[in-house]
Amino acid sequence: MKRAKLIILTIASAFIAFEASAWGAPQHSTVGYVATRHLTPEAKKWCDHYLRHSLAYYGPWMDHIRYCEGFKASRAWHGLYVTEANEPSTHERGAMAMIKRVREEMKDGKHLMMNDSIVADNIRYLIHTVGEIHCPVHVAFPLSFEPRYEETSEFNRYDIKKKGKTLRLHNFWDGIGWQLGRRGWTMEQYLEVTDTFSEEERKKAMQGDEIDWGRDCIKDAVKLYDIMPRGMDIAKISEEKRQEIWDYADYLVAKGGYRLAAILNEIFK
Amino acid sequence: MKHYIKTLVLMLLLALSSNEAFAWCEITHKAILKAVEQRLTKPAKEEIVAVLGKPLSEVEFQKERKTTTLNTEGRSVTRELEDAVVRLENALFALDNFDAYSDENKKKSLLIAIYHIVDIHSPANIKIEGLIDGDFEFYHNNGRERTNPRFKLTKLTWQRLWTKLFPGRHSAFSVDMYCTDIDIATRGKAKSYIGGNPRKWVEEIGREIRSIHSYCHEGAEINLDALLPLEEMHDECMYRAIYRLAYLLNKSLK
Repeated sequence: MKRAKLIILTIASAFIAFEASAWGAPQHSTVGYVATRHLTPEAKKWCDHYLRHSLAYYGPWMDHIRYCEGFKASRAWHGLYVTEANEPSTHERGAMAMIKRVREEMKDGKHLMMNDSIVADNIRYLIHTVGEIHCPVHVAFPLSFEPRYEETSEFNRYDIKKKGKTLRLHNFWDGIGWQLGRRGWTMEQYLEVTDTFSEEERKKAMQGDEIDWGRDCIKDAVKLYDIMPRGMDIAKISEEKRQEIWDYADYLVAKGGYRLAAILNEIFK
Repeated sequence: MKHYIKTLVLMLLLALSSNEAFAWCEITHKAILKAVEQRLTKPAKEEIVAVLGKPLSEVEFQKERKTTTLNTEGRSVTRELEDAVVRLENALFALDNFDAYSDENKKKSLLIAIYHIVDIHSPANIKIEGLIDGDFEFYHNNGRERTNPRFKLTKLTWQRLWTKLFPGRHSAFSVDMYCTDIDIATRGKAKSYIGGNPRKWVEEIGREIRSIHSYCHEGAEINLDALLPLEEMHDECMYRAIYRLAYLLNKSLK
């Protein structure tokens, strides 16, 4: 009986941890880990100083505090909102405005004039948000955009299936690690499949600012409709399809990591 | 006050004999031992390998912690005694007088010291008579207003809080990732962890647990925000365990 209770509690606690994540805690941590590998020594020094933890440690942090008092404004920053003109929205509601604000607020040595805890929070917001906008289901297209279905909502364009039962596409991506066979993967394993860009590819990904990256994320997000069409049953996909989904996800995580490094390198130049 | 502290110390028990005592989760245990090993002197590392037959980072907690008795200078410390501080002090005494002991007792005393130093720093492993007797259930809300249809209370247990929830937030962390993070988190703070002695360390965590228990107890409902400082405490307890164990082993195993 005690052992059964333990098993039930363990399973339940796994759900607690999963529910609090978006893009999956491992993916958010990997964004931080990839970024760490491409920080300048100056940026690394300042991040260590302010955070007192690795970037990977704070990958999922914004998901844990989103409903905490004092952090409720951060709820709006979990998504990249797209305008009717198919451009990244810079409205205060959304990730773009936050990333731009933090960049402007802290670059050119201005972080030295700021309260340490505010700088630390800003870095933590960047770690999570820059990764978040690369998650295709956190790109919120207008409801008027195609494809459109009865279940379409801002952060869930359509549903897929798992063993014949309806599964929201968003929920799949929130737990992609355990949904698609990488339960128990370590950061090092994720790094091997994500930080694989050539130097040229990486430099290209790191160019530009958050608006350029936002436009790129929008283009990447619509690729999902072909890779994972509506109604696809993820329990019945071939190994090739599984790998295709993972290649796509790993590519997005890598970009998120490189761009996080780019913005931190710029801020702490 | 002295009487209160003495009572507190005497009342602190380690639930080592119970199958449900988890202390830390497996990955945290391993990370603690690896981080300690990284802070050991060469002689200490060599002595540990000589006595245990393996490096410290390969000591497996769940499998090996069945040590029952330790004969030290005619005093026999048995599991039934279950006074963490006394067992630990005896084990540390043995470490300081290693040459006088048989190989078997050297191994036992070293393992007791390792297990207890790590375990007394785990909030999940501390019982306080009349307050905390192993495990209890409480609730945390999801931060939404009570009038919000999405307001929810999540049941949690004291054990799960310390052994599952916080480690679960870094689910892809390997032992090496933890150690890298520990290096960053504790840079420049090593000396701040090693003051005092085991008795004072137990008093310290006992005070902290009492303070937490004032708002986080059986049946309590806590705000989501309350978890933030508890996560910091979880990490801080890990760091204390690491630096204190490294300090004691380096001091004794020259």
